[in-house]
Amino acid sequence: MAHNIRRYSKRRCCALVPLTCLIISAHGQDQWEDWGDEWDEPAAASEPRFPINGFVEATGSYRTRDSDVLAEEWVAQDLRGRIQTFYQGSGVMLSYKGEVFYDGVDHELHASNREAFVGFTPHSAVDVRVGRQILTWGTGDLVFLNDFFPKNWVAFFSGFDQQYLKAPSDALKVSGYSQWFNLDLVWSPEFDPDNFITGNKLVYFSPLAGEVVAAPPELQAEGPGTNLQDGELALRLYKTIRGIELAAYAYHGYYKTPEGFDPQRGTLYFPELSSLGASIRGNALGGISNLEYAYWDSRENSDGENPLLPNPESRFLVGYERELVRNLTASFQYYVEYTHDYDNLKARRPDPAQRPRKVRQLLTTRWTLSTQQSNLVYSAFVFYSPSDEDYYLIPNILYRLGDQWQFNAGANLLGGEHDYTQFGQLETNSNLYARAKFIF
Amino acid sequence: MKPLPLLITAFRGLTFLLLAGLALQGKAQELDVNTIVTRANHVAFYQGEDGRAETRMKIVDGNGREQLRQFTILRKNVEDNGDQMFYVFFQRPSDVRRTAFLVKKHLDQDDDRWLYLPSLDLVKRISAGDKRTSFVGSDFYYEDVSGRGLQEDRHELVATTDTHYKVKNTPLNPDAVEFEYYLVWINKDTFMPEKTEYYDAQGKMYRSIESLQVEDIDGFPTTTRMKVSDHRTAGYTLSEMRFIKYNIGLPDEVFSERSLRTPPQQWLERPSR
Repeated sequence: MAHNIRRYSKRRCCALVPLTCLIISAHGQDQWEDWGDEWDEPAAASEPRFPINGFVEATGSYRTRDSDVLAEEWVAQDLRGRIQTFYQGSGVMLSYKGEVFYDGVDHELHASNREAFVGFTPHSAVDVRVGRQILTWGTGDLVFLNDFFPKNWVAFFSGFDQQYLKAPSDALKVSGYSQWFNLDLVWSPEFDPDNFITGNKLVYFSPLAGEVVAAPPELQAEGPGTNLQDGELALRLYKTIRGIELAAYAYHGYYKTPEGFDPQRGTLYFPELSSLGASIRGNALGGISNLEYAYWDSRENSDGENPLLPNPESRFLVGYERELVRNLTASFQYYVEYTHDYDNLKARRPDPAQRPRKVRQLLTTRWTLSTQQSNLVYSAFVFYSPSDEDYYLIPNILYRLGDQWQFNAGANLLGGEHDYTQFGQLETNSNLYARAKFIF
Repeated sequence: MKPLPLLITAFRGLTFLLLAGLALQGKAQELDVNTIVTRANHVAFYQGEDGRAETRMKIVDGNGREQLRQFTILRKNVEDNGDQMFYVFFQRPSDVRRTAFLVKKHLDQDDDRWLYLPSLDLVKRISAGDKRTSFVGSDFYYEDVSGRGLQEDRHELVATTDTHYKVKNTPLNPDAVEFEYYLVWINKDTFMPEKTEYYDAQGKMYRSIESLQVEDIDGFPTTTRMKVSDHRTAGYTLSEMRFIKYNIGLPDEVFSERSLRTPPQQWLERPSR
């Protein structure tokens, strides 16, 4: 074999590709040696057993509109360090991601475990993952119909890295695989709500007060109990047939934000919610198309008779994405929330500010222009609701400097005709943000 | 990010062509251009039933700034010279560690492509898109990795030397690509495409791909070092492959959403040889 190698090399250099020889002599062999690490002959695995990585990231987000109710000009001043490691071997997978961060607006130091799970494969067709983990499914882009895993809306609206939109779950995930279909079952023994806007740093519309408010007091909500039967169950069945991804979803748990009001106790709480849905995604029309549906059953208010609880809803999504020209990708989504038993709701909540639209429509578009071999990326995401007459625009510029530095600058620009719609209420939270990240 | 692995396979195939060429030197003069490019395509992209390789890339921009990429590629042919499946698992840089990429390459329709982003646990479907865009931020294009359909160009044998066929390839749909034409030097012995040069409308060569080292691996001539140069920016990318093994018996199930979320460790481990 060695003989053969030499022969090829010789032929190449001497006769075949004179240009090659020129290049080799010009750059020298050291071009191939200095990779900043060892990449030795056969080791047991293709990467270190417990690689330690992480980053330090600074985020600053400055309010662009004066608020009548919140004097603080900064939405976020955040400096954080991340340490993470990962192990895979002997049929076991371990992942840990931990962060320490300083909140410069509240002058507080925090620590959090973002990921801490063990994965194993008890059977060749079963994977189990237990512990703190990030979980995502569904076909929407920043629109969630069947994904009831916790979201961090505060981080999202404040200009943090988009990975922070997904908050971790403390859960057991069992995945099964077969030739007919695959299955994911996720059990969260304790309810994981979204990190929703409470009036601290970000304002919101309070239906009780009838206006936009800020903390203090922070929005408080009563969670479900902590008994085993008070947890959440999420199920996905899925299969890919000739590139077409089919999935069915079910969820049994609670609204992830406090949508209900308990008049006896005078508190907001997370009403019971069950959901059934389905999605399909595949190549179409030179791009990717997706359709998704979900029926949200507000279990405590299935007939829509209780004005203090959400009504059942149907949610539809259709999306399309394609690369328009080289390095420029555009995507579009049309999303509808249809409120069932609306007449009951209307009769009991005559003030439009106090009730959702019967049909809430949302259009989104995302544009991404990648330049300089993906080192300079311009993007914009727009939400626009013709029914609510409100909008949310997220322009962003990403610049990568080598493998270690990333810089982002952008904005969260919100507004609308009314101060009670989803984005209209957040108008004075509009901000400009900048982030700098050093990766190690 | 876009997939590097296809490129690697392609170049491996090229290497094979070179070797095959050697063996057939006597008859080589009589081959028509379609036979030559078909065999070159096989050597560059289709050797063995399947295979695995670890790749790292050094991306150097016009200012001399460097970036590194490192990943493991698994490939399986669905049919010889036809559809293929690729799985790529990234190790470097650290912010993309555990990112995985899955491609089902189709000759008669758009490829199916998925990217897994571990920080969001998100399986993202990627539109097939323009294949002449940067692969993982390198000077390689997606198409350099996965192969360019032979039916997309008109092929002319413009020269035959003692060692090489020089083939000129002119796109049938010039609006779809950035080049006017490209020249490929295919080794007569192995049918390995050893050098490719891309020319613009002014006839100026602005981009090149070279096979810099070829090794025999499991009986297949395999390009283990390559260089792509962007002569307009003076940037270039070096690519090196190690721990290559062919015909490892990859099951179809490896090329699935399961592997995106849970890396198939058995197939990612380095072969003991």
